[in-house]
Amino acid sequence: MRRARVPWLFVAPALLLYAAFYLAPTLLGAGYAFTDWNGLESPSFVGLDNFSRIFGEAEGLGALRHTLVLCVLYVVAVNVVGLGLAVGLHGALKTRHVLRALFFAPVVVSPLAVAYVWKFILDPEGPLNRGLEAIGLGTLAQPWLGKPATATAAVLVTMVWQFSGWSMVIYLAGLQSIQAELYEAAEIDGAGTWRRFVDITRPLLLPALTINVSLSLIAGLMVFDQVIALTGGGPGTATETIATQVYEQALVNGRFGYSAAMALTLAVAVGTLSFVQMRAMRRQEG
Amino acid sequence: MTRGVRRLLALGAAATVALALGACGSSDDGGSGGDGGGTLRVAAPVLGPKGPDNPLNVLARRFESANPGTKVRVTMTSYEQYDPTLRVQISGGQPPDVIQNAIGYGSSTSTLPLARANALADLSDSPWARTLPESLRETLGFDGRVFTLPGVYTIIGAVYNRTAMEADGVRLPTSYDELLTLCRDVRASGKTLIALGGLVDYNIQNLIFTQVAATMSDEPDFAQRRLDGEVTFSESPGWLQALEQLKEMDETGCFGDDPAAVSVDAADQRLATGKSYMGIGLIDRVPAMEALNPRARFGLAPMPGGSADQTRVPGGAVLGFSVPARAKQVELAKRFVDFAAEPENAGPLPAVTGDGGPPQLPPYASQVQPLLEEERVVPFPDSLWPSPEVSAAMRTGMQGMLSGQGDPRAILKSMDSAWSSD
Repeated sequence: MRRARVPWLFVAPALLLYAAFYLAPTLLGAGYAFTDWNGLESPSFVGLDNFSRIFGEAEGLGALRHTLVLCVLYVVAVNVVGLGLAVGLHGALKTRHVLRALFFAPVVVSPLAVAYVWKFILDPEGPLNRGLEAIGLGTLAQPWLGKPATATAAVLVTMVWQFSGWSMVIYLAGLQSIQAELYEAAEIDGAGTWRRFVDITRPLLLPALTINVSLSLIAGLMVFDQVIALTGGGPGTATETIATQVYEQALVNGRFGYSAAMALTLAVAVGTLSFVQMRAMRRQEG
Repeated sequence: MTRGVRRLLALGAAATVALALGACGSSDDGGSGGDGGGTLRVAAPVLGPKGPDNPLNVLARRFESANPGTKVRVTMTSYEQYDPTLRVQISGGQPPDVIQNAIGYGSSTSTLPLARANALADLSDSPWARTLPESLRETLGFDGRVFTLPGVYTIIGAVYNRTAMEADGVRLPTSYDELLTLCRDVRASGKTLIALGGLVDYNIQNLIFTQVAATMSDEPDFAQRRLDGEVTFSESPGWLQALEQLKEMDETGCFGDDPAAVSVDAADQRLATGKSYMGIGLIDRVPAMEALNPRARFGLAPMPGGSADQTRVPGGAVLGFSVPARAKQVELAKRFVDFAAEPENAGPLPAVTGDGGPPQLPPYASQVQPLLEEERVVPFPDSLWPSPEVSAAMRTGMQGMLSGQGDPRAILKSMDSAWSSD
């Protein structure tokens, strides 16, 4: 047996499993996007009908719009909060290790469980509104999940609350890789805090930013758990996303072909936007 | 690769893209495909009390006693989770042996969509199939064939907290105008008349059906005519009136300030503790509320129409037992269904009778019983809707209206669009 084949023998079992349980279903699923399959009868080829429906009807366009809005807001918010936490906890704060653990803790909890806790908090008679009333801010109390704008904000806050710790850890790793001598030299040269951040921290943190933006972009486009648990896509269809529509169309309405088309659209969107964003940021990194 | 395996793989792809569906929960019998021999797997949505006293569990124990060596494994799932889970199991070729599903159309696991796709076993040769009420046959099969034993008769009405109402001197309204007046009075006292968990849009469906029952008396054959394509929702005065009344009720404060933000659990708590006097629900919600607050008594009353004479309740056979065509134990499953059809095995919930007489409701629903005697019960509208998307459009539209978006005409238009989307 040639030595070159040996590594392939070790890899083969994993490759087979990957092909059987991931690649094959994915490719077959993509094929069903061009059919009218209802999950029960033999599918018929319908060409691009499913895709024209996604982009031609309010339902699909609405889900697409909500997904993009939520995604953009999430990418910005989770990175701003994550970077802020990382910068704050990178210094000589005595409690920084405890605080880092605390801010990271929500990441390891199921998103669904976190969303249900927030659903309780945001109930019209829940702790948030009760708390606002207790401190004399009762006029700010809202039906948080019952209005389109506040429902979207609620989904966003839940996501940012849970995953800004993850973003923080990546930024912290980036910050810790920057040599202290660079800051010392800049300080001797008279650079202030802001100048040091702009000229040293920012460029050297770009790799961490690239990773964080990529991960948050993918998470933002694929948001599902938080929407299903908090609003179920409502009120009305105000928080429907592509991922929740994939679920609804296949498993509630029995339109597996249409659902597969939405899933394929989502997969292409995630791949394309991630690729473009990675290319652009890598170019900036130089 | 077999067709079944290909289907499973494709289902896996459709269902897992976006890496999200794994987290949405599923029935706990998902991995039970290996059972064989004398084990019968029965799947149903949660109805009535949980635990051993549930009618389905009682029926399962009786069947085990009557068939020594047979084990019946019942899996009950919340209604929202049940349909999607069941649809995946059936589409994947791994269905339970007996399922409890909605009759007619209405959802993706209802009798007619499944039967027309050859996904259900033909039960026409069963002895009970010959004694079924004629009025139900159209929703149980086609071409003279029967695929479902109608097993659960239910009524939608106003579940009310009798104890709280008596304590506060509040009386049930007998007309729509009285209802609005009561809403205002109750609001002024700091409470809400109707606890509506509008955050879950399924819950809103019951509310709409109760209102439609009262406003469609001049269009009794609307459902069939809509199915035949002779009319549309947008053209129906009764449907428009029902939705306009619901809008008016919302604006009057019948449902509180923010019904679209209230969870079902929160609404149940309000009703159980007397912060609200009424809720809209199926008849089995009454024992569920009594379990939530054993110190209070609850009842079921009809939602009032324009006048006492116009009052109707939506009711009828809603769920039944079917046998998936690809079940592992088809013959045993058919025996179970036949067993369930025997009158002595009917559970505490009123079963559909074959003699054409009205079912006898439990004492807590005594105010509804006269409507059954007077044939003022209207079928559930969605049993003749060809696609679940119609009811989805209705629910999301209504939920939107409760949160300040849309209006009755827009909802009806979206229902017509969903109807013709296939």
